Amino acid sequence: MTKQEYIDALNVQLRDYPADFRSDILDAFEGHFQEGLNAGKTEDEIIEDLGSVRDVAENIRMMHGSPEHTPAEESYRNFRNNLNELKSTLKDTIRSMTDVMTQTVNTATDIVADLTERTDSVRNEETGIITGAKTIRILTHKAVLDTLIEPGDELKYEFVSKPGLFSKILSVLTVRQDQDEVSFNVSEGHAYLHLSVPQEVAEINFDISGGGIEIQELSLNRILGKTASADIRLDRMRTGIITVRTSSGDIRVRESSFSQLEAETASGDIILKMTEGNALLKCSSGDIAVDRHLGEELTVSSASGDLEIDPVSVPVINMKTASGDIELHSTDYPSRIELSSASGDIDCTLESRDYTAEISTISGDIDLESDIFVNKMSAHRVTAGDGTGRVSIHSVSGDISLS
Amino acid sequence: MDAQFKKGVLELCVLSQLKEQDRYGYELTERISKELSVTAGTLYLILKRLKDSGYVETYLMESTGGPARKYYHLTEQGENYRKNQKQEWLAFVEKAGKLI
Repeated sequence: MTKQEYIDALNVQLRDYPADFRSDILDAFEGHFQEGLNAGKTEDEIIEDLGSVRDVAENIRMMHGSPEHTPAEESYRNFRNNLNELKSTLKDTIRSMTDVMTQTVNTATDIVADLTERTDSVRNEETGIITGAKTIRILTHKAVLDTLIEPGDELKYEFVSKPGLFSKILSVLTVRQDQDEVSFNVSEGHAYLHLSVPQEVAEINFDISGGGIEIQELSLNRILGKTASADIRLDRMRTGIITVRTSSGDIRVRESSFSQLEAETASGDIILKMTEGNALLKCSSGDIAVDRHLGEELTVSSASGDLEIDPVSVPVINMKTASGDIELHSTDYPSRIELSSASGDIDCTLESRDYTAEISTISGDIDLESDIFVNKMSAHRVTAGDGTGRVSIHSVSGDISLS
Repeated sequence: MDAQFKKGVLELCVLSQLKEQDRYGYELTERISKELSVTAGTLYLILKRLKDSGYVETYLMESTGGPARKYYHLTEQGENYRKNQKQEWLAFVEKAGKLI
């Protein structure tokens, strides 16, 4: 096909459209041929760039309507309608996916209930009382162990192992006491361990794989533990030093106080709620959320997880992430606050009005809320109030907002 | 629907390209079809539609060693529309991103 044949064929397709519409389109196409030829293209190459006459004709009818009515507005409305349609289709899809999942869970629950009924007679149970122990150690090897530790008058343990849905193996508990230290060793399988712990016990250590461990309402000097996939949950505790580590489990600490908490996880989340003490929280891909915390020092870091601290009363805060977002809301005087991210956005809200903030970013935007009481402002330095607090916020490409 | 959706996105691309500077048709279509699989023909129809809606206007300017070129210019109304569409697009991408 030559240029002339193409233009003629297009002209035929446009015959029923108004003359000015037709000439506008033909002008544009002819101009394109001209430019293309000047740039050294062949007519065939240019035709390929433009698209076939049939496609063009179809597009004209779609975008500009049939010749009788050429309401451009209609096309815009169509675009919006289609966007809305797409949104609602997505919503429906999610709703039906949720239905399917609910059904699956229900079915699974039925199977488990059925299995429990049939295997209830097959179980391994053990209970006992230990005296004179000050340190508790819980160890598992490949077991899925759910542990609950609560206060009690004496050190009492209840152990139950039943065949799990995926494992027919019964766990065995081995209890060993060496002076004031008692260890609970659980072998492969699926088990539940309940410990009542008296006041003499000052330390709990654990090294467990799957399941979960929950420690409640105890006053301890030390908790030292690590898990593979098990969640760690500390509730209403008063503790000296807590050091916990998990690979994929979550770490939750609620309504507790401690002198020092070190929590680290690879892919799990770390969640603190209504806590008091100094904390060092670290995760790779999980998120960290701190809600209503009081302390002297708080250090939070992640590789890709989001960090959300809201609100806390801590004068020294250090938050660092590579690609996660940072959100900080502090009610205390910012004695030293350092926030840094590579590509994540930083959103910092300080209730104190006395600080000097150094802000820098390479390619992100900086947004200072107008309610900041700014005394002095130079390129990257904001002085508010008496300017004595120290705040530094840095990002590479993330946006920064300070209010 | 897919085609209409694509048109909406292309429209936003065209407007965004014109926000940077005025461009003539060939230059504009080459820029866009270099990144997206879309024919120049489709883009001219989009330009026509944008012009009919008052979002872009055209003017002729002499080129060195060739016929006069028709330049496209983003109008104020077009800029408002572009901002709007961009917001809508970003919101959509963010929401879709959560689902994908």
